[in-house]
Amino acid sequence: MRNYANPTNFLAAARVATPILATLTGALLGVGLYLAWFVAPADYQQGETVRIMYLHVPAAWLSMFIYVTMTFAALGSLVWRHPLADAAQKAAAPLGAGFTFLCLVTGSLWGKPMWGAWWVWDARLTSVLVLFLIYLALVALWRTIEDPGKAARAAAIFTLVGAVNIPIIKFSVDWWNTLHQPASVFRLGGPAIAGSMLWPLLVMALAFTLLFLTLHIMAIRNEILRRRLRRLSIQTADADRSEFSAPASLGTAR
Amino acid sequence: MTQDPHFLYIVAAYALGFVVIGAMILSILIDYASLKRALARFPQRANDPERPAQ
Repeated sequence: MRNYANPTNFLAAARVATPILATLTGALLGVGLYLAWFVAPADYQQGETVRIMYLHVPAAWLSMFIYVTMTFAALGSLVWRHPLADAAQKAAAPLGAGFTFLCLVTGSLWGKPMWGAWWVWDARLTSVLVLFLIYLALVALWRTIEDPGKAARAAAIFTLVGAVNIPIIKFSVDWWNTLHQPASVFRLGGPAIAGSMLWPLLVMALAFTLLFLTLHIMAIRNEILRRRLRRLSIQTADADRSEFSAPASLGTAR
Repeated sequence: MTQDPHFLYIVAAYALGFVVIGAMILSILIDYASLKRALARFPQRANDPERPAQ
């Protein structure tokens, strides 16, 4: 495992893993979509609208999972100052923003016909909106600070502070009165959802997780290449500068 | 399913899912292609991801 923490080894492993993961993700997404649209039954109260759940819930789980992944990477950046941890942090932020956006909008599209409102300021919805804003702030932070090392440390501290929002999102439906329903899969008494709906949901959740893993590996690869490009650009600029300054210094020596 | 009064909400949700996920995939692929192009301008082994840059 430690071998893959080396950026060069990581690139070689990513080259092998990416097509395999992408194929698995495509196949699982295909099966998941088939189950969600054609096998899972309609809900006795919500009717066909319940099918939005198979997109909304995996996106919601991923929005939190990606943040937890980023938190571990942030620890790697701060404690070990590992370049791969920096790349993992940076690569995850836009993906987290994308899945959180998907969660918010599909939730809104589900809420309008079921609750009669596109949006309510209840604890669950608001805390997820805060998570989305944190992701956007992290993306902006990475783009604002030019030095990758400084950007990684600033983003890591911001990520660790923002991590307090994750348990708030998870337990918001228990701590406050919310229009959003309480947990129905990961709860103490076991899932409160029928097996015919649970299985398609789990397949879609696994497909989304694999999708994130694939995209994250590809984005980390891009970050490693970006650092390499930056280093080469600086080296070339330094070489050009010394080439220009060499005759001048010889001239003054004479 | 198409008879459901809220069918359009379901279609809109999945269409948005395809667009968001497609955009994430495309942006990563485009970024990768532009990085490879930029690295190819440098001589030596810079573009070979298997080897460390000089």
